[in-house]
Amino acid sequence: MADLRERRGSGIPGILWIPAGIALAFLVLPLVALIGQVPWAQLGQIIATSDIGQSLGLSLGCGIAATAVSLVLGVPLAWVLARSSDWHPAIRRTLRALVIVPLVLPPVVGGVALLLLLGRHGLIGQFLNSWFNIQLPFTTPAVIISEAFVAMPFLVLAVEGALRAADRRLEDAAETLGASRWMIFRRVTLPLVAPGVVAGAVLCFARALGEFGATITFAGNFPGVTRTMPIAAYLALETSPPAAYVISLVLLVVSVGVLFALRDRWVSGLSS
Amino acid sequence: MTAIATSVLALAGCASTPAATTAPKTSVSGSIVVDAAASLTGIFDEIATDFKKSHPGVTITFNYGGSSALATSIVSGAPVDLFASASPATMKTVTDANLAKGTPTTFVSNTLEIAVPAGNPGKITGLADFADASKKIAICAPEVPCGAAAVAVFAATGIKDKPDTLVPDVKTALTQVSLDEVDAALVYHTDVLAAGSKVQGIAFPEAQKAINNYLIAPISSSKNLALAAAFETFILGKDGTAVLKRAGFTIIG
Amino acid sequence: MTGLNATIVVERRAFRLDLALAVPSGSITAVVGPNGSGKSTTLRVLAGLLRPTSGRIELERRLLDDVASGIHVSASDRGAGVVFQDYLLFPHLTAVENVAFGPIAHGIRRKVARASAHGWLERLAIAEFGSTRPAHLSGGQAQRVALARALILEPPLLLLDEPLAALDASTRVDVRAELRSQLKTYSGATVLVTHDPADALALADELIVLDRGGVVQRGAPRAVAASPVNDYVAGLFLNSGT
Repeated sequence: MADLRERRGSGIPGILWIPAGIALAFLVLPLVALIGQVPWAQLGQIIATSDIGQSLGLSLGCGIAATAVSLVLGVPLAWVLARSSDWHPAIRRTLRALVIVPLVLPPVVGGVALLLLLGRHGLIGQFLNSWFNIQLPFTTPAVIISEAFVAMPFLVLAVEGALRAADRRLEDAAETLGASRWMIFRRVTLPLVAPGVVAGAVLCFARALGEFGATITFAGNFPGVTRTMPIAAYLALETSPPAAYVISLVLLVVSVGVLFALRDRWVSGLSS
Repeated sequence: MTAIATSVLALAGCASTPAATTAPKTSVSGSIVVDAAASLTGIFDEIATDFKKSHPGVTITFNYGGSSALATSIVSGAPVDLFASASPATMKTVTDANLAKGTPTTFVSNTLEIAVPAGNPGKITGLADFADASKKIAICAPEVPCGAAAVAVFAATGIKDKPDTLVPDVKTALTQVSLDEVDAALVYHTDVLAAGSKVQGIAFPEAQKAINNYLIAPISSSKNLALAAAFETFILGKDGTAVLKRAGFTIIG
Repeated sequence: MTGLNATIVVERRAFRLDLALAVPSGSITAVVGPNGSGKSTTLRVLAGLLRPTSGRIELERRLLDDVASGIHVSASDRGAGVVFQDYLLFPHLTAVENVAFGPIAHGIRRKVARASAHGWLERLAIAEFGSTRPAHLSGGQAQRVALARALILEPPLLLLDEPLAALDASTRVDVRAELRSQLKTYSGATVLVTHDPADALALADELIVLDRGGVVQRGAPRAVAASPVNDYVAGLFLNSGT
C-alpha cells in the first residue's frame, strides 16, 4: 500500500517536467528581469516624488468596486448560464459566447464600444446626458465600468464552472426540508460554490487591477480621477523607465499580497 | 534572411527587366527595416512605392510606433536600418548610443492644431477655450511628445488648460474627437488631415511656439547601409517631400 | 385509512412507471428492484421533486398530487422527510447545522432549531459529532445525521433512498439493525427504496418488487421470499449479498 502510494507521488512522466519547467520560467523570468531593473537606491525617492500613492489608491478602490459589481451581477448570470440546460442549445451557446466576447476583444476596442454605448452621444449615454445630465466618460465611475466590462467574464466563467460541478441533488435535499428557492441559493448553492466564487473574484480583481486599454479609451487619464497604476506605468515608461519599474513593482507586491490575504481567509473559512 | 531577400530580388528582377533598363542605374539591392514615428504611418509606405519604381526588387519593411518606444528598441538591438523620429529627444537616445550613422537630418516639422468633431459642436474658437472647464478637453499626457508640445504652448501663452483627460497617444485623442466625446483635442496638423471627415482642424497662431521637428538617420549597425542611405536620400528629395507636403508636414531645408 | 395512498404513472420515452401504494401510518413499505426499474422515480414523485404524468397522491387525507385537477404540492411544502442515497448532507455545515436546516427553513429561530437538532443527535447517539462536518463522519454516522435531519420536522411520510448502499458490507448489518430500532419509534408512513431484498426482509412490512416500471409481486417480505412468482424475483433474493 505504502509502495503504491509512493509510486503515485512520483508518477509524473519525466517528459512533462521539461515543458512544465519552461512554462514556469516563461511566466516568472520576465518578472525577475523587471525586478532586476528596479532602482532600489532611488526607490523611496521615486515613490515620494511621484503620484504613485494616488494612482494606487484609485486602482485599489476601482478594482474592489469593479469586483463588487461583477459579484453582484456576475454570480446571478453564472447561475442562469449553469442552469440553462433545458434551453435550446443554440441559445445556450450564443449566451456563453457573448459572455466570453470581452475576453477576446482588444481592450481598446472594448473602450470604444463603451463610448458608443455610454458616451454622451452613446446608445444609452445620450439619455443619461439629456435626462439626468450624467456624463460617464472621463469620470471615476467610468474606470469601474471599464474594469468590470473586461474582468467580469473571468468571474462568470469561474462561478459557472463551480455551479456545474456542484451536486444539484443537495438542492433537492434542501427543497424537501422546506427551503424556499432563495434560501436554497443563499444557504446551499452559494456556500457550495464559494471556492469558485473566491477564485473568480480573485481573477476578476487581478484583471481589473491591470486594466489599461478600455480604461484609457473610455475613462481617460487624469491624475486622481482616472489615472490608475497601469496608465501611470505606461506614461512613466515614455520618460522615466525606472519610475515605471517601481510602479510595476508596487502593483506586483500589492496584487500578490491581496492574493495571499484572500487565500488565507478562504482556507480558514472552509476548514473547521 | 539573406536567402529570402535574394530570391525576392531574383523574382522581381525577372518580371521587371524592361523597367530596369529605363530606370536610373542603381547599385542598391536587398532589404531594409525602417522604424518610423506613428505619425508617418502610410506616408512612408507611399514614398516607398515610388522609390521601388526606380529601384525594383528591393524590400522595405516598416515598423511604425511611438518614437520613444522605437528608440528604446533600437538601443536594445533591434535590427533596424533607418530611423525617423518625431522629436530631437528620441533621436538623441539613438545618437547617444552611437547608433546613428552621421548627423541626423531634420527633414520636416509638424505644427499643433485644434481637432474638433465635424461641425464643431463645442463651438471652439481658439486655444483660449482649453481653459474653459465646461468644455470636454483632451490633450496628450506631458510624458509623450505631443503632450510636451502642448505644455510648451500653454506655458508660452499663459493659458491655464483644464483637460478632462490626458491621452497617451494622438490616436486615442482622435478616437474621442471623432466620437464627439470631447469638444476639442490638441493634436498635430497631419493627424487632423489623416483622421478623415469626422474630425476638422482649427489652426491657431500660438502653434508657432511649439513646432515639432522630425529627424531621420540611418542606423550604423545596418547590414545594408547603401539601401538605407538611398531611401533616405529619396525621402529628402523632391518625390519624398511632395508626399510629405501633401500629408500636411512643413518641409525643412 | 391514514397514511400514504398513491397511484403513480410516469411516462418518459420508452419507459412507463405504473405503481399503486398504500402505506398505513407506522408501517414500512419497501420498493425493491434493479437499476432502471423505476424505484428512484417513485421516490422523487413521492417527495414532490418530480410531477407524475398521471395519478394521485394523498397523505394523511391531504391531497399532494392530483394530475386530473392540476394539484401539485411542491417538495418544499409537502413535508415529506427524505434520507437520500449518499445521504446528501450539506458539506459546508456541521452535523447540528444540517439537522437544524429544516426547522430554520420553516422559520424557527436559529437558537431553538439548533437546540432541537442537538436533541435529535442525542436521541440517535451521535451528539458528540454535533460540530463535525460530513466529510469527517463515518458512513454509519452520516446515515444517522441524515435520518435526524429528515425526522426533526416530524414528517407524516419518511422516504428512504438506498439508506444502506453507501456502507461497506461489514458495517451494513449493524447499521441496518440500528435503523430498524430507530424506525420502530417513528409513527408516520415509511417508503424504503432499495436494490437489496435483505433490507426489505429486515425492515419492511410490505415488499413491492418492481421491474421496468411495473409491479412484479407484492406481499409480506417473507412470503415473497418464500414463494417468488418468477425467476426474476427468485434471482433478486439469490443475488442478495447479505
